[in-house]
Amino acid sequence: MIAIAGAPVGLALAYRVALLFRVTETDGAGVFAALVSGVFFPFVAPMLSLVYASGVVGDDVEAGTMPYFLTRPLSRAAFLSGKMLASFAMALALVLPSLVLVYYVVLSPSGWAEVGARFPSLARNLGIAALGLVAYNGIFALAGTVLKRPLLAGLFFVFGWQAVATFVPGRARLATVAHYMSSLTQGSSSGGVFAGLLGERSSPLMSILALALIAGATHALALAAFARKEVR
Amino acid sequence: MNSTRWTFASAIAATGIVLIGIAIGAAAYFGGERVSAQTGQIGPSLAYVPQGASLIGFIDLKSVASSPLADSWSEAMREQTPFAALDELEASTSIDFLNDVDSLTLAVGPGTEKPERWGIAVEGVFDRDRILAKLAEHKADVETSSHAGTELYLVRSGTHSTAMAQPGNSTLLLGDLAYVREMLDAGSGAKPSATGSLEGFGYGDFEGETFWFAGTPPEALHGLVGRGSENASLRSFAVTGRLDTDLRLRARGQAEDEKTAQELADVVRGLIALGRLRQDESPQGAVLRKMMESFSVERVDQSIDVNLLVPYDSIRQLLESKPKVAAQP
Repeated sequence: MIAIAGAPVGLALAYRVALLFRVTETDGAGVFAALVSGVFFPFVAPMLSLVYASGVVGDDVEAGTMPYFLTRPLSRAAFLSGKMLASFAMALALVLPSLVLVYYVVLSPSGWAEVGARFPSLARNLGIAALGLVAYNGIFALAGTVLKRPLLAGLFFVFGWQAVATFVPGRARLATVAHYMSSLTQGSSSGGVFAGLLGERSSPLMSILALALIAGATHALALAAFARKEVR
Repeated sequence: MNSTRWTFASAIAATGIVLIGIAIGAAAYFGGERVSAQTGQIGPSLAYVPQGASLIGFIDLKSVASSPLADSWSEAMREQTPFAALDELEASTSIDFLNDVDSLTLAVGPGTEKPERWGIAVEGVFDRDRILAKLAEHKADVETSSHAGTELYLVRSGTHSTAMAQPGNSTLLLGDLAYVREMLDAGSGAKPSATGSLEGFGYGDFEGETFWFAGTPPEALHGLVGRGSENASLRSFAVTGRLDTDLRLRARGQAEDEKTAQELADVVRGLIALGRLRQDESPQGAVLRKMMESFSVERVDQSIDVNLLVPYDSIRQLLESKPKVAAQP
């Protein structure tokens, strides 16, 4: 997991080396925008969320510990809520520091003024990452609750559905988390490659509401499904 | 250390990185804000633009002069560029636009009357006596009056007349007499200025932009979009340019409704598609084709955004491909 979260930091360090040897003259803000929109949002955030959230139920079922947990004086809703909160916290604890480190690695050569000038972009991207992670967390936790192979389904969602839906004309992209995360990058310096590929955006308010709705609905469905699930 | 302690330590480290990162960034941001407020990227000149101007523009000449864009203009190309015109202006006014002027803020007054009321607020370092002496040298008829405690000079040259006022050491106002009076009123606070109305154009306060123009579209454009609509189809427009690693141009139009915005987006996409079809094998054609590829058009609710990245090399190639004008004797 650290490798996935550390990959963008490695790319940022590579940029610093390239800058040192004058291989590139691209400014730090552009590199940060490209890493956020091309690596963090479409790859790092969903992958980390998938790994942690898809195992909220399955890991304990596979290990055979689930029946013991369910004998404790703890409601199923409280048990799963705790597991989902923990998986979200884990993904958050890997993505946000990585995002902050990348920001300072690529922006610091441009000086203190540039670090300050681009700070709203960092703050905005941290917020978008947190919002996207909570939505992914719900989707993958639901998959982990109702499906036997949630990891495969999750990989299909991230690299199959989301990748294809963004290029399909019509409203298919509205059924992806990536679309709303990309829409929220509008106006910031991170509206780069990823945003450009996705075509028309939704408004910021609509995007926030959609992500909140996806997060709320999928977490609620996961709780409802787990309440009815027969665990062996 | 057992796994619980490792988890706890990692969580503390992760939280620490995020919090320290945010704290440093916030300190740099708010520290930078104070500096920005003192130096004024947009400049205090905007305070002289009266509220209700139909067009407002700003050019940060200092940034332009120190950018790779200015560097790319070689000495050999000076005759083809505005530099020659600037030289003439310096000869008649003593204002060296490239060295004395920091920024220009221009405004066109509201209404459809002709000639249009206009004014330019110039920020920089000026010597009023030298400017007046230069104008006198050129036999211009200078009439002096006063408005809001500031001396106002009306410079007549033939049928044209331009008003000039210097309300501050670093600000020079030029324009037609009535509008310069309005600008002085706005600058003194007697009348509201356009400072608070920038947000309405959809790009915030245009912070960080090297140049920008914003306003309501001219009458000529009404009905062009909206497929026969008799009403104005665009409420406002804004064009901005940022000199970064490339020249980044952005335009935003705000339509009356989503349907009109969609139609406008379709029209713009169609025009860009037509441009991409252009078959021109010359080096200039190749540059233009490459530029057309970098266009992006997006619609968000009632707004339409057009973005274009132009590498400096492309601008240089386009300028160099123009036929050179024979040097004037």
